[in-house]
Amino acid sequence: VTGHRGRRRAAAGAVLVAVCGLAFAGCGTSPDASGYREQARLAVGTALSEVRTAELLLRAEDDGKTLGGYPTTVLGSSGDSLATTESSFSSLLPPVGEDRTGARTSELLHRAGEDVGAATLAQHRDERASYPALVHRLERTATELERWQEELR
Amino acid sequence: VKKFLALALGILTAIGGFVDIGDLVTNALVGSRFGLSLAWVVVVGVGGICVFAEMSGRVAAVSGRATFDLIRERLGPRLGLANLVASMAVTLLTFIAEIGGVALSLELVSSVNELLWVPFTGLAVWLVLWRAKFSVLENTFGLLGLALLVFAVALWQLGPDWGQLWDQARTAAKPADEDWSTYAYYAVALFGAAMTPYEVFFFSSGGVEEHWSSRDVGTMRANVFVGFPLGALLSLAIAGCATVVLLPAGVQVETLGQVALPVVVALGKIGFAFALLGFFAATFGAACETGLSVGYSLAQYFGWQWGKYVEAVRAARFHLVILASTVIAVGVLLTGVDPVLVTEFSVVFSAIALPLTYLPILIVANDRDYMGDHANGRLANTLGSVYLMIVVVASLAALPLMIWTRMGR
Repeated sequence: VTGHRGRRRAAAGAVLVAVCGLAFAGCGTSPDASGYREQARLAVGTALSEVRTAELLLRAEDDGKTLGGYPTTVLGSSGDSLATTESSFSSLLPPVGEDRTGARTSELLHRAGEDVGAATLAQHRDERASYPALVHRLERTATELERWQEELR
Repeated sequence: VKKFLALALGILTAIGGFVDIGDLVTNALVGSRFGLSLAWVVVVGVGGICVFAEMSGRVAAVSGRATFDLIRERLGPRLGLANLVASMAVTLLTFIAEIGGVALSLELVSSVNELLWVPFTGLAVWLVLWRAKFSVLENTFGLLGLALLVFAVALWQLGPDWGQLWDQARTAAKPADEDWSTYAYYAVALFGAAMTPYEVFFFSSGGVEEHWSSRDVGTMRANVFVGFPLGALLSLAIAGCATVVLLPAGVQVETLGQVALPVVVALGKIGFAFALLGFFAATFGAACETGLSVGYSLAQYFGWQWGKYVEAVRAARFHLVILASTVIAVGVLLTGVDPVLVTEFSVVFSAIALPLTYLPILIVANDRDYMGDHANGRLANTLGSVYLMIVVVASLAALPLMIWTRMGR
């Protein structure tokens, strides 16, 4: 039932990026190596933010601290945002020498989406017994995202 | 006792009514990325809004006329029109963001998509603007907005390292992984959020609605100089909560749900309920204020009868403008645009429009024909001029920074 704000935000961001890109680069070519790595870093940053949001939320839910439709809304937004980020990044063609960057980023984005999806499903089904394992899974993915973000700097 | 109670009520509503969707989102977002290193902007911004709100309130109290009413008369239709177009465009954008904010608050509690709440929110805002008395509207949402004090309680409950927070605020050092351009962009956005133009229009028009006179200048000043800075502390508490919980986790605020997360972590269900009430009151109250401000500015420029202190039938065009603005706001939101994104645009465009809003106020407040002995003194003029320079710098920097940083990404 939750919205598609993540998708809309990313779409609006993509439009702005495209306009700025055209304005400053002039001809709208595909990104060079540093541009591609910058896009990867931004995508990983977004994924990290959403995974950590889900982790904090699931911990709070496990402690009985949430109310009403709040967890559903927050997890739904995180899932939407991750789906959009993954799809936007996968549409970029990696320049020569950046295949590993593309593959690793895509893999982590996919895993982040899966983890948040699993958390959303567990919350929806009220499977509280699985929360600690899911929190651990989200934590592990977040740590890997952080490491990869550092490498991309 | 009655006078003291009125003063206390005024201050409390000024505190509770200070925060709107722009403050909520921008402060949380900035806290989650920059910690309290941009707290100085909130301090500078609240100083500016105090200086100009006091001026416009004094103009209303002494002349019995609202700001726009005098701007056109004093500066002529052309400059008045420039002021009108810039201010009204930003106020309308803010109105859209506030209605979106109400819908997002309702989505948080119900998990029903915000798009489904938008038409009902628009209808509710319009009904309140049509039917409710000005004082009821102002006091109710101002007092309910005090629920946002839960952010201060949450910050205390989180038990942060206060020394570290103070150091961040004092040194204003940006985090190592952020660019200076992004830092500057968010400084301008935060400044725009603190000095939103509608606040002065609403404040001065509200003075006329409540029949202020020269005798009320003292009360008005207490509301401004006590209420607004205390309201700004709420903004800092929101940023502080994001600094303590979201920044270390790497969460970058993009939704209203993330703004509430530190309160949920610190205080659980009760805290969350207060935060939700605060979100609702702050955004609904600000939606009413911005909706009225659109009507005020247009009606005052064209010299139409305006205000809620007269029967609706006698201020038909004023109410028609409010209705049309509400329809436009609902229509824009129903396109599916993200209200948080609208909010981000509204605070940056506020910064761009600031000089056109505040220069005329400074000029009118200096005019002895209108103000007599209550015209600006040396202190008010010095502060006003200094702030005008800051406002011009922020205005000129806003658009290039927005493009250069790709909206702070």
